[in-house]
Amino acid sequence: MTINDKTLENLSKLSKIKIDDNLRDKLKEDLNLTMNMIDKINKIDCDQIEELSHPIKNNFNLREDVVSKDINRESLQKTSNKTEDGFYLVPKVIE
Amino acid sequence: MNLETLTLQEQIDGLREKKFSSVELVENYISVIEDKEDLNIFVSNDFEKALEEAKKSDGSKKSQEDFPLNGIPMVHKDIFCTKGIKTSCGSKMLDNFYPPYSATVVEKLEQAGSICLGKANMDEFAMGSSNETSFYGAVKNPLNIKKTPGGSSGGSAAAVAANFSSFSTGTDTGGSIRQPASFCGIAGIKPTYGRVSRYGMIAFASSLDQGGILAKNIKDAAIALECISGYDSKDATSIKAEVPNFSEDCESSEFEHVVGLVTDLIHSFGDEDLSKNYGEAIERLEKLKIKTKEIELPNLELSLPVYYVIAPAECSANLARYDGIRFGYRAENVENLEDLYFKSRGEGFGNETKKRILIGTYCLSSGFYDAYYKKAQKIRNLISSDFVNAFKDVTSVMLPTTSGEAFDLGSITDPVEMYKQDIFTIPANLGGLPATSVPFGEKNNMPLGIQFIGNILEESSLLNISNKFQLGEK
Amino acid sequence: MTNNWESVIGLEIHVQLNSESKIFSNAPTKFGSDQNLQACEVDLGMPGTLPVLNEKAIEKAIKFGVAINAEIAEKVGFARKNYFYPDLPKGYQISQLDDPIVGKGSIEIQLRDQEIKTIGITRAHLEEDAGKSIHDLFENETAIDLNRAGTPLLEIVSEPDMSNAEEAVAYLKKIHSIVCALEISDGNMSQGSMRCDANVSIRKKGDEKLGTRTELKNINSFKFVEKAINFEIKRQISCLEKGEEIIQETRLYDAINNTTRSMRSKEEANDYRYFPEPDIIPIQITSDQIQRIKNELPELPDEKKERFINELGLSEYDARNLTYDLELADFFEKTLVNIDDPKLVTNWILGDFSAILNKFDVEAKDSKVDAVKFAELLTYLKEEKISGQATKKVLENIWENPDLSVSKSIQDLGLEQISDDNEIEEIIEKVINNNPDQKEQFLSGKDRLFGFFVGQVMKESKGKANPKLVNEILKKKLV
Repeated sequence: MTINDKTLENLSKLSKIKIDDNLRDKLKEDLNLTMNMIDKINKIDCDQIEELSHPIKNNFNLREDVVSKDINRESLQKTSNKTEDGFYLVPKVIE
Repeated sequence: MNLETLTLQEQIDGLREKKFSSVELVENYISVIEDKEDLNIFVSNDFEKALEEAKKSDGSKKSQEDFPLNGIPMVHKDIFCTKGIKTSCGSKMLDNFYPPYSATVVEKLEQAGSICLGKANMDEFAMGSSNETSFYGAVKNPLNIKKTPGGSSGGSAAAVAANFSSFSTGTDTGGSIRQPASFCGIAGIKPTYGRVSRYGMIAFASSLDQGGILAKNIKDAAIALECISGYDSKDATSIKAEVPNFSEDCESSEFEHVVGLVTDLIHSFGDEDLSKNYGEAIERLEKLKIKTKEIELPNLELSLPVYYVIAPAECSANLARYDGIRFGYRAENVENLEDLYFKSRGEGFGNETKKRILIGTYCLSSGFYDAYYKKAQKIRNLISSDFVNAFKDVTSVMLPTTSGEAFDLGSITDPVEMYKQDIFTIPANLGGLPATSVPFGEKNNMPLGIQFIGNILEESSLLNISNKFQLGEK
Repeated sequence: MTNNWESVIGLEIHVQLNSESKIFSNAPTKFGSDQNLQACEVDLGMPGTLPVLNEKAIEKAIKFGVAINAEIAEKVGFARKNYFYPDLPKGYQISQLDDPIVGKGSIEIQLRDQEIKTIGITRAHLEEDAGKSIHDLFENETAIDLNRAGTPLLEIVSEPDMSNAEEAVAYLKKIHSIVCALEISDGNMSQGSMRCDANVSIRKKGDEKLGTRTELKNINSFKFVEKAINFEIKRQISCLEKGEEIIQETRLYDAINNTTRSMRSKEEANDYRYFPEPDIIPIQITSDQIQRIKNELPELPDEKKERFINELGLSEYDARNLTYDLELADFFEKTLVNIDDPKLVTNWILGDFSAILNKFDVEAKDSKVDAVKFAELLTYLKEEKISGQATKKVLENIWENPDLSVSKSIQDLGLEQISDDNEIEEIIEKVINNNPDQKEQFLSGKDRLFGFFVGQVMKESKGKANPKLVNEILKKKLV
């Protein structure tokens, strides 16, 4: 089995997603079915092939260094559930 | 006159000739939409505003040349940000999200004069092939309410099929425009990656996502596609290329076609109905006297595993921004920051989204990156190269859109079975290639679709062959 | 037993590039605005928004690369570095992994004993800055300000080529002077425009293998770099001598207590899952572009130093000290416009002028005495209208009274040098007449009493007598 409880725990930590206990087994099963399907690629020999990260090559676009934003903090912060005095708030972080 | 059954071209003509007004169009649609609420197509709508805009449009003297869609009602997939209007992406996570900006696609369609009737339901974050992963529940297929309309642009496809509008916007990461178009018996096009701006289109898998159009036929799709295409300085992956006159090119007689066929590959699936429909499509090409050539796509079947590494990997990062802090669902009663993250994301995302994030995280994680992500990117190159080679000899490739017709809602529970829905549509996304789905044939009283894949930036030729094919013999 | 150990240090310097707009959005980068007023939807990572790379960020990075003779990448690719933190809006930082814009290069630093040491630079790459978390503003919450999010950073990674804190500081200062000369950053360390992390390890003298290193974060001044590294070296030595092991970890420098402490274990968060940024297609850099930037490169500190030596005849020591602080070098050159005496100007700039800058804690560019006035003052000295002593007094006087002209100051202080032969003769005669005993002794062979007479003459003239003339005339009169 590729993804066991320990792996799942680690994935949950890395992605910061809480996994409910009642879903754990079904999730594990689904993930393993998917990984088994994916594992087909292991058999392919393509060491010499370059990776393709972008379907269209040599199409880079840059911006000019121009400031052109009217930033409306109030309107941007309307989408947040917790702001005060222009700050976004999170539970206190102790470093 | 049943205005809601008219094609986009007919509506444009009718408005120009003043056979009817934009207000009449909108009113017609509203009554159809209210009638068919059970299909669960819309996540949100604002009919009052639509009517207001229609009135304005009727009173204005805007030329059709500058405003090709003036007064035309349409529907947006709820993945496109609409300023001040809820944009949920089919997720509880964004159930309260009212973006302070609009997607470029939305702005372009507004500038063209069209009127948005509502936002269409979809699979959560565009992850799904049946519309069943939506937080708002599945859309029902207007042709048979027991069936899925397909996904992820299921609401957009159903909207056109149910006469909620003559065309709609959709997005396609692995087939999300073409598969639902096929399931609902309509046409759809996913253009070249970079042809349509992704700005304001909520990201699923950035190197695969592309916006496009669902419409009653290819001609209509061409008209609307022309309006949303073009370079956008807000999307660094958008292409600086002239936008051809798609609607004219679509009907032009100038294009020479050689359609690439993969008959042996289709037979190898051992599905009689699939082979039969593909054979009939070839017959139609022959009757139309269109040249064909058998080609090889040796790595086509690897598309599926490759896609299910790359798309989840990209999505695992794209969806990291949903942390409950600046927008989106925020869990209550949390003890600390970690708790805020875990609960907001745990409660805000649905199961399919979680699965994909976890798969993507796994494929990128330390020790697995080379075996999965890097390898998948290499094979992606192989698949893409297969098409590059094919396009040396042919102008387009014909494939089925899906392996079968729309299935019953709730009938597929094995995730891999569901993922297999995309086997024929994924390759075009991996290669960034434009592709259409054209309604052709049927099975169990449900429509099937035939897919044409074109070369990069060759939408004109692609639309032309797709249109010829759709119209069939004169 | 401390002598048995040697330390190995490498620095990672984050330099904020001084573009007008952010690296991936057109929000302003200006420092000090009210919270979240400079964070647009792209900086906030809002759904559907996309990054578009600022061409100036690329150009400034290439400038740096060219200045340190590094290889410039033909293909510049970006990658996502994934981790969760409230001031990292997207949940990933857009950075570079495999294709850094600047490859291997090196710079030279000069040590206290004049020795020159070459420090290798492994790479420098572009990335976006994060926002700020403020922990002490609200009682139960941490406040997030994302104004800084998306500010372009050039992360300059050195080889572990430094062997003590002094070298690390010299290296940091050199990088600082280069980025300032290139005008790619304001270099303001107190505002965080330049920040530094240090990798420190120790090993037994002669060992080839590097010891386990710790990473010191948050050391944001030249002084702290030195203190933090020295503290960490001592801590590691004492650990090893006690038989304990060094743990590879990130440690935070606490400037108030001059100590380093372990940050919350980052063990699990260490898996950054880098992968190529799909939203940004790799950028091609052409050799033409590199050549153009090379041609437009301003004079670098080392080149300036060489020019001062070769063209102005300064000593290596003086030239180095002048070019250490580019503003000082600039003041030096501006002064030379009005007085052609590099040696004299150098002595005064490195001497009394630097002293007065230090005393008032002012940078050369903000000097209360500008270069024109300073040149005028030194011209009085050069033309022997005032003495050295007097020059110093006038400098202080015109510093404190910026409206005062040099001539007026000299007048006010009554410091005009006496260069009139007759006047000096008069004073000398008076001094000789007042000291008959000393004259007797001098004439009978006590040569060193000559100095006594010079002193008396200067005292009598209140320091105004031209010393050269005093010497000459005194010699004649004392025969």
